[in-house]
Amino acid sequence: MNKIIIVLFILSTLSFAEEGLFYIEGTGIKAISMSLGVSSIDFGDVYNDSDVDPVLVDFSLNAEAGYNYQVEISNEDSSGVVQVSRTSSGGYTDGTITYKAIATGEDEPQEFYVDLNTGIMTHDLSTIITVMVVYLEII
Amino acid sequence: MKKLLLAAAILVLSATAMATNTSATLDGTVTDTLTVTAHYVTPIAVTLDTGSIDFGDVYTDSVISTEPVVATVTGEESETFTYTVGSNGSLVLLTGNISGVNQPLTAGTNALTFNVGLDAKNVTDADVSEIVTISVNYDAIANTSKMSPAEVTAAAAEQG
Repeated sequence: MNKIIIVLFILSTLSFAEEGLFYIEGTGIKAISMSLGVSSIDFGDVYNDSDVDPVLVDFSLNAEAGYNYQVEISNEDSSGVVQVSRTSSGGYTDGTITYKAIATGEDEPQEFYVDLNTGIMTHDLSTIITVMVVYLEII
Repeated sequence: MKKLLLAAAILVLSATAMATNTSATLDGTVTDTLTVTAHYVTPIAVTLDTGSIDFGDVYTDSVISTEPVVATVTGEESETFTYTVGSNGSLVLLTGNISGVNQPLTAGTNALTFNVGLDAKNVTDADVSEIVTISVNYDAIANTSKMSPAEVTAAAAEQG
């Protein structure tokens, strides 16, 4: 019994005297920055089956090197008139464009094109295109 | 007993906490928007009140009265249009509203009246068969334009 008391005393004494250390680790990841080079597109006067040239929208994106990010380009137009593509010559969709890439850490110029499906136009158009960028993973 | 206590102490000292990243900034999305607008223009259209004109039997130097034809033009109000009336032959004579530029379109219908006659002195032994055509088109359609964020800011400042 005495031995137990002595051991507890020693442990108790040591616990008051010991110092605790722990490390905090974390990787600093810069927030994604992105801004569009175009704020508004006015296609002017358009009638059925007008020939409308696609309009280039450029934007710059900067994210932490080596990290995956996703870009989503969507529009609020539900009529199908507004179409977007990453190339001017084709691949247009009235839906959402999504693509992924690995950041370089530098400003990365990117672009997409906006076109109109004038064949189904029946009224004035006013809509908003949204470009969203997000990291795919944060460890 | 000592071994047990020692093992427990080592276990406590070696424990490492893994925190979950709940940062709203890094995990949040970055978005930017642009507006897309277009003005839908009613297609311009024209109809004629006459489908065919038959001058009947005609001989050289016949005196023939002209026939009036009314063309009705419809389109976008306040836009202007150009029109021309022509024949694919040389014996039909056209007078009245046979050409015009910058004609303003008003609400509703816009009537153009032209007269169709025949150059009887040049009518020979061959029958006459010509087609008269009226064409209309808008003078101008506003083109596409786009603005950068800086231009939008400048325009807003200019408007006060």
